[in-house]
Amino acid sequence: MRFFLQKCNTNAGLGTLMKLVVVLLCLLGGIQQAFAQQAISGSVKDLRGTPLVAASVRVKGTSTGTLTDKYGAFTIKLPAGKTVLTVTYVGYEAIEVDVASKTFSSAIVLKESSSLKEVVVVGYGTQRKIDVTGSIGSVNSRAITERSSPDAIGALQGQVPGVNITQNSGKTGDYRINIRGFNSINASNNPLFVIDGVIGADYSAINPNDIDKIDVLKDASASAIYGARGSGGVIIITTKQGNYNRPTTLSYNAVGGFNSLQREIPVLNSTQYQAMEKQAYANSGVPYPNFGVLEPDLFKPDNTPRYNTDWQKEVYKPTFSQNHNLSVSGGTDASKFNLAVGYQDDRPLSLFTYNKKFSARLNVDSKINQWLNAGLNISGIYNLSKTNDGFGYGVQRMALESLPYIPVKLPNGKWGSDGMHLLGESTPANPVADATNDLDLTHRTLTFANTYLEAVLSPNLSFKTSLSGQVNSSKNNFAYSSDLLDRGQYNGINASISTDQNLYWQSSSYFTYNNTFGRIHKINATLGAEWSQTSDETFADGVNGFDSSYFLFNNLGAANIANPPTSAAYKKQTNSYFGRVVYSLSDKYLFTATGRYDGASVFGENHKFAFFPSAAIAWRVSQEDFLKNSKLISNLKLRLSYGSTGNSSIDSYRSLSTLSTNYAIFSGTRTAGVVQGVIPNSDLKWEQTNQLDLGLDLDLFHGRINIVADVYNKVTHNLLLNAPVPLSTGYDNVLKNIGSVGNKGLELGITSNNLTGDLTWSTTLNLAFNKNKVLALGTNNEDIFPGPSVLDQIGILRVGQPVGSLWGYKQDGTWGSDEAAQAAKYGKRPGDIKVVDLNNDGQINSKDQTILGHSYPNYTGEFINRLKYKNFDFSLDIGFSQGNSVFNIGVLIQEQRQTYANAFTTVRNAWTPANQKTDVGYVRLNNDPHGSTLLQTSRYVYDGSFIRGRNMTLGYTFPQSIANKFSMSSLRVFAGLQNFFMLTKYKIGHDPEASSWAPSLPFAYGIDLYGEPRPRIFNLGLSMNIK
Amino acid sequence: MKKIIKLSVIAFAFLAMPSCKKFLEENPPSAYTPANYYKSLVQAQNAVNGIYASISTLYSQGGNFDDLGLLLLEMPTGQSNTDISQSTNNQELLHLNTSSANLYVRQWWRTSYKGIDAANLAITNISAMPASVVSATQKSQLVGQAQFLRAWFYFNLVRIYGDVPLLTTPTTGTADSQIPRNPTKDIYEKLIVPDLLSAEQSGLPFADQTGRVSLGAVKGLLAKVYETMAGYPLQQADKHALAKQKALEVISSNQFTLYSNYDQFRDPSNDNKMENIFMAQFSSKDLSNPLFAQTLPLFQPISGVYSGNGALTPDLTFYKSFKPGDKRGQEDQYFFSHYANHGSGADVVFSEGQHIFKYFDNVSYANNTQSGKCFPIIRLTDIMLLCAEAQNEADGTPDANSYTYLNQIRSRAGLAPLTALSQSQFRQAVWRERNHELCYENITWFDMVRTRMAYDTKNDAFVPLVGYTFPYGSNITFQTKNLLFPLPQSEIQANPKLTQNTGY
Repeated sequence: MRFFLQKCNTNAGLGTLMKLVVVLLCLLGGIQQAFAQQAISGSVKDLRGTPLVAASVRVKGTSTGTLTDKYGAFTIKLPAGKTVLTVTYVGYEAIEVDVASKTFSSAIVLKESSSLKEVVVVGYGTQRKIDVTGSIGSVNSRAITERSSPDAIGALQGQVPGVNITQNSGKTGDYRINIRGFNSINASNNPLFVIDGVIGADYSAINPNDIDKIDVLKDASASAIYGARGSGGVIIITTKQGNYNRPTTLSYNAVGGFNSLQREIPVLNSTQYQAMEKQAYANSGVPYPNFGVLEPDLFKPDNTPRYNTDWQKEVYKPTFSQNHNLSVSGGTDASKFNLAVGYQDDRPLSLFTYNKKFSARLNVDSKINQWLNAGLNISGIYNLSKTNDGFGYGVQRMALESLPYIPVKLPNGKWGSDGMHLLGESTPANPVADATNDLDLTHRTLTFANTYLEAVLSPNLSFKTSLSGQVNSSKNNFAYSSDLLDRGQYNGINASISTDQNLYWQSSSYFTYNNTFGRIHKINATLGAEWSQTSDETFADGVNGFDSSYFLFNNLGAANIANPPTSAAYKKQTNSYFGRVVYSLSDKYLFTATGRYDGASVFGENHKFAFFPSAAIAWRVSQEDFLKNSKLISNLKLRLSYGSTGNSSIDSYRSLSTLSTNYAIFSGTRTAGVVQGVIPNSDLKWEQTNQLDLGLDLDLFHGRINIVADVYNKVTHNLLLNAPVPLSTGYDNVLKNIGSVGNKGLELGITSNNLTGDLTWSTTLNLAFNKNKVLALGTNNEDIFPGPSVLDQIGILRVGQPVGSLWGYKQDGTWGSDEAAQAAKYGKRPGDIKVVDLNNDGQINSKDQTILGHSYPNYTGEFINRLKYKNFDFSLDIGFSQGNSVFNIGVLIQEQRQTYANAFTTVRNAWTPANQKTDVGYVRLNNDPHGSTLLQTSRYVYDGSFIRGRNMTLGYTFPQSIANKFSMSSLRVFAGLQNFFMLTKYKIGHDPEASSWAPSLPFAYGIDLYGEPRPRIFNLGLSMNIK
Repeated sequence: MKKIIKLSVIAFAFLAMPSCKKFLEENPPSAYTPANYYKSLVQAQNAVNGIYASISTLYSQGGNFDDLGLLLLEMPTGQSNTDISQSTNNQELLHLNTSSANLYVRQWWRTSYKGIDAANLAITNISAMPASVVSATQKSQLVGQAQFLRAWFYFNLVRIYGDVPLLTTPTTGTADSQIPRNPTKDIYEKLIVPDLLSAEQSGLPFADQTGRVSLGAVKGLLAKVYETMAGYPLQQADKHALAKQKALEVISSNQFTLYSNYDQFRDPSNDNKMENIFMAQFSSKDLSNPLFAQTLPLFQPISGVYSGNGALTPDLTFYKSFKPGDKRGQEDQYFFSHYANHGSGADVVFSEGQHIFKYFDNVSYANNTQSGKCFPIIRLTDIMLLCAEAQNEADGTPDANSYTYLNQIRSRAGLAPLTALSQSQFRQAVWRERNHELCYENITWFDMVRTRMAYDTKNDAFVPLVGYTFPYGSNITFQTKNLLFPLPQSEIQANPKLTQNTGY
């Protein structure tokens, strides 16, 4: 940093020199002007008052023109008799101003053209937004970087209605992404990511600061060009490019974030725990032991605990994250470039965890000659992360379960452990010890390159061919410290290394044809072909039994026990042909037809290829004479599309008959064996989603209010389903095209520019409703338990119900003293949990389970406000979700497993003869003969609806004069708060949005079992541009 | 010229691409296919090895940490209890309230049929291999092992579920995968007995110390099968004589010797030797046996490796049914109530009382390694007692041999020999011995349903099984429906041709 300051000073010196030169030139110009022509000066700004740099200012009817400078200012000479200027800027409505007019102001304000010039990326090309017939949502770089999110997905959250992104946990980049509901059960539900034209590129590591634009293709018309893989929607990321004829600029931004726990979960402290424990001993008829004698390390002679450890405080300490980005961009008339490097150090709350990332990207485009362009994008990312999930029960669980009696360390320096206390579980030993001594490190290297050649074959026809490659390697190093033996965790692996190397290449080529016939018939057509291949190799080796912790994972050969390593490889290929025709009649009636003929290696011999067509029409009503001069409606477009898209995201070789390897033990030694593997299905084919979308784009009051609304109905047929087969076949399931899922929904995006002028204020409200329903499953519509399962299956897929249905017993409080006889019929006693005997057969067993709730919300939304006053800018971003349930298995475990581990404070309301109106069974010892079976009941299903203060940022842009002193063209500092409030009834967990399984397990949303909490973040940052 | 360059750009883009049909072909690099396998003797052997894996799976798979599949046959005997009441699966069984969604009910069904399909695959494919690759002798021995294993899986299935689908060829597709239940009698007569008789002729060695199927195992299993056919539900009385004969062939081979004490039962170095005729194989290194951890008292600091789950513990009335002089009831024989902490050596007294010591693995305890102790499936004591029982039934009165066998077992336990018993007294004496000697070995349950008699531990008497009230809980009474377990709920859903057992 010191070095950097020095550099700034040098630049400041240079800047002074430059300024002198500029002044001289201006003076010279002024002199010239006075004699020859009239000159006019002014500036060009947008509605928010931001200067528009390099806007074009031309004298109408002449060839005279200029560009605005970095302050948006311009000076232009007016030829005699000419007074009208035409001012244009990409993405803004062009304006003509008459300098002779009395109303002329030198500050020219351009309105953003939400509809006219705006371009969207549609896959294999771009379209003017006004020509688009499908449902596409776009997010620009400003909105992406506004939140200072360390990853692109976090930045996209809530920005496009229908793109449902939930943060799975507080770990970096841990998101669930879904567009317009769940279509699939066993194939992936993730949208397809396309980065700079590369299909399926890894989005998780991309630096959000490198992103210029994100376009989301939601309906069939838009996504059908990616037919085979488009059924989950498509997210197209375009990275920042340089600009031709632009001076080189350097920009730097930095954000530091202070992370802290949103709230602690209410578990018992030592005094409360001891009170509960005493009651448990009494209830179980066992005298309370004299712990002062038995466990003098933990208890004083009078039996009171010596320690009162707040394990959450020990594990979730405040952390500091930082993020630095530097980019250089510029261009000559023949080439342009953008070079960006970034460093990110994200620190989740869990003790000693981190996620560090170094990224570099270079985008270069060159005009080789009049008809040939070439370009290159290359990027490299190195990512190192350390997590705490893999130890014992996971540090996050231990933070809640470890007994408050136990100190982190004893006075003699040894780690405390739950095993020190009678009846305490010995396995969740001590989360601080685990986090300190054990290592779970993942290295990831992502290298990406994309090159293209673009030839203009004739004025109407061009051809583009590109070749891209991505190498994505990850390596996990894992080591358990050997002192685990004392903590009862010696079981299993001591150290392991596992790697995954993924190679991808893609070759795409397509023609683009553009022409206008008879002035009103516009045709835009695309035709192309594509090939791609993924190759993946994994390897893992784990060993146990070192003589010390010295080696960690750095000398696996030194261990006593070498377990057999594992490895696997697969390849996948695709080959596709695609085309799209857009026909526009008088700019009023728009027709789009898209088709993709797609082949994928993963399907059965008979069904490698499939065709995915779609069609759409749009009517720009506002172009009709009856609306053309409307003061109210400045733009109105109605859209209708229907089409089909596919899903091929399944594992390789699932259509083939394969054998699997296992091993048998003879004489204590493992011996290779071979048995049945996969049941063949040569008819395995594409999962197909048919989608109808009806949309409306409406701009009112000259763009003051923009409304985008869509309703859709999606039905997915031929689900790629691991359909159960009778187990008597020797197999569990076969991957089959069977079953059907429907999604219906409404999306609404409203943006209103409430105030313009000195104080500008705009408001955006995004709303998305989705209703999901399983329409058919398996051969006999049998229920499917998609996992996860902890004590029992937590979720169920059942025909007629939505995905994410939560499963368990219905609880009706606890058995009362007056119900003793009835309770006895079920083998229960007063004070036991009372489960409803749903089928009335006099027994409580699995047949009494039922659907207890739904984990996906009825609707989600985002409410974003942006204000700007003079040099201050402010944004406020509130997210909300309604109707989602959360199943908290952690509460269940800690409430029902009394005296094994610490409990939630809810056990203070446990059943006693005097307190019978409660859901919590009477407390008892874990070895009580009437100990209760762990029951997954409705008590643990909570209303997870919430309103979240997602982000609030206050920024200050220094006046030019100050920025200039540092030789900068702009300097902004800002402070932000994320997760700054949470309104929810769900107070028993860290966050109602959190779920505790990896996003790869599709229907585990809303299941809370000791996930990494999401922090509250206070950000401080600055961004500067230097020319 | 320009045109040519332009065209060559296009041509280059497309020519570089492979032809489409071949490009989309799949060749799995990490899995065999049936077409490229079964080409050598080693591959034929590995196809048979694969079947054995299902046996170990049966005895080691579980769910949560107090779940263990083999408890299906221990929890509902009236002789078991548990330290830990978390598992719904265990609680249902302890209370004779088993549901068709019970995890173990599915595990036994699923794993058995996995083994059966693997056996069908091996038998079909090895039989088709040319003699130039696998000689007739080799083929016969390999197929013989597979037939034994297939018979054993079916033998378990019919005893647990009753009528079950009979599959004798490997599954090749999903076309006709819905098979109805075949009568129990057919499964015995068309598959189990013929497979075992064929395995008996396959040229297997009489004993095998590696853990593979031996001729002794085939004859031992035949004895068990015949004696079961003689009992419920088939009640083919003529099978007593056959059972006796097969058991005698095992005993008189002198290939197997009785342990002289119960330490030898526990000692892993005796696995596949002495009185072990056939075992489920485990290894501390590659595939550990969870039973040691499951029988250690809950969270007691005894083992350095396991924290102890206390999933399976003895019912107190059963523990007390061992006569005072019976060695098996003494500390550190079949049961224990305290033990030394592995680290400090301090004596740990179990607050929960008696626990099972039968599966205490001294090697795991001493070396801090996982338990690699094998689990007995057929052992000489079982065959000797079975022989005595079958002879008594076949001949109407016990002969000298039968007294010898019974009294050998009794004297090992420090009990006085029995003499001059009536058929009925002798029958009950054998049963009592089986209950005490073979407890927690997945034998008691099958004895109960085969004889339809329960050992009333409170009164040391044999009473009709149906109507027997368990010594614990409030009025847990054995009903007719409990003679069979339910079919897994998921299986009934996946195969509509199946019917559920009565009462579930």
